[in-house]
Amino acid sequence: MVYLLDIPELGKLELVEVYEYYDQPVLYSCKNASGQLYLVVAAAEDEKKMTWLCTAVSDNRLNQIRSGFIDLHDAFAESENSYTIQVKVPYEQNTSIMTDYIQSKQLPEEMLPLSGECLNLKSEGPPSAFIVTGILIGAVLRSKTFEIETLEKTYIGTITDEAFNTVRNATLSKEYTAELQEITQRSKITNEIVNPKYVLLSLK
Amino acid sequence: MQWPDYYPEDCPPKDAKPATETVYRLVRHDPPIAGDFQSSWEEFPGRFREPTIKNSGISVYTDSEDIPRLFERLKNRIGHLRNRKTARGKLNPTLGRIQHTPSYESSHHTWWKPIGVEPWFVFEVISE
Repeated sequence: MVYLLDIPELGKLELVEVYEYYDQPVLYSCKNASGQLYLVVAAAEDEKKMTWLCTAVSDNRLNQIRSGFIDLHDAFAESENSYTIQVKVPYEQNTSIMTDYIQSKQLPEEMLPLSGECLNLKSEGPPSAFIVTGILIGAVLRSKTFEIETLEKTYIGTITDEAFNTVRNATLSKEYTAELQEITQRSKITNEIVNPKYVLLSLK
Repeated sequence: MQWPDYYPEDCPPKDAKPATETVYRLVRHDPPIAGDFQSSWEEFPGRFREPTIKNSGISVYTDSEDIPRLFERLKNRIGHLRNRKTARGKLNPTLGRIQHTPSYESSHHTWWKPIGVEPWFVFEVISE
């Protein structure tokens, strides 16, 4: 995902799921090229920099965080590796990102999500990709959106950068095999998932 | 309307509309100042791999009834936003274009500002 901040120490990162968005993803999970998952939160800001916290999580622990079994505070303060990576990103362009490894129990409370704040997402695990075969019935390149119709349902969502060139050269009304991933939208009343949408990872 | 040089092609999107809504945003300053209305690309020059339609715009919300709950949740979860204040502003078409972008929150909109406008003058802080 191109709007994800680069954090060199973590390797090339790919967004898995965004839980909170404000101008940019501010609470999200991502993974690096070796498959290590991280939970990341925008933790603090001052006049010179913004500070992020990144904690490595296993698949199982991320599931527990997503379901609310582990709250967001403890996701960082009681991290599996007992340390959290603190990334300071200066606003000034020609200054380096600073990275520190901090004992999770020593993280300042004001940087952490409040105790009791839970995601309470109902679905199991981070969304996994799946394959469908269907007709490409719509593609809007400027907004990077697509529509694929299968016998069972119509999938509507956004096109990833990785799939963009393929879609650009694709033919409408032709059958394709698509790799999709479900993303979620929550109810503003109940915070529950109400409206599944999809991202198009690849098209063949 | 002249857009910043860094905006990618087709930004704002063609289906973004002239801004006319009353919108809400979390700001650092009371009264709001220019720095409260920067896109992520402007705020972190060179930190992103490339400018995108998303990181060239800024987040605003339109559902006044939902704002207290939404902003409280954001502040509770996101330390970076915890000390921000709620500001309300009535946009007008000279202030840019806006698109409903509800992927993460139903009243979330993305707003793209042209060069030379001073939108902070139409915003006021309504709560801490």
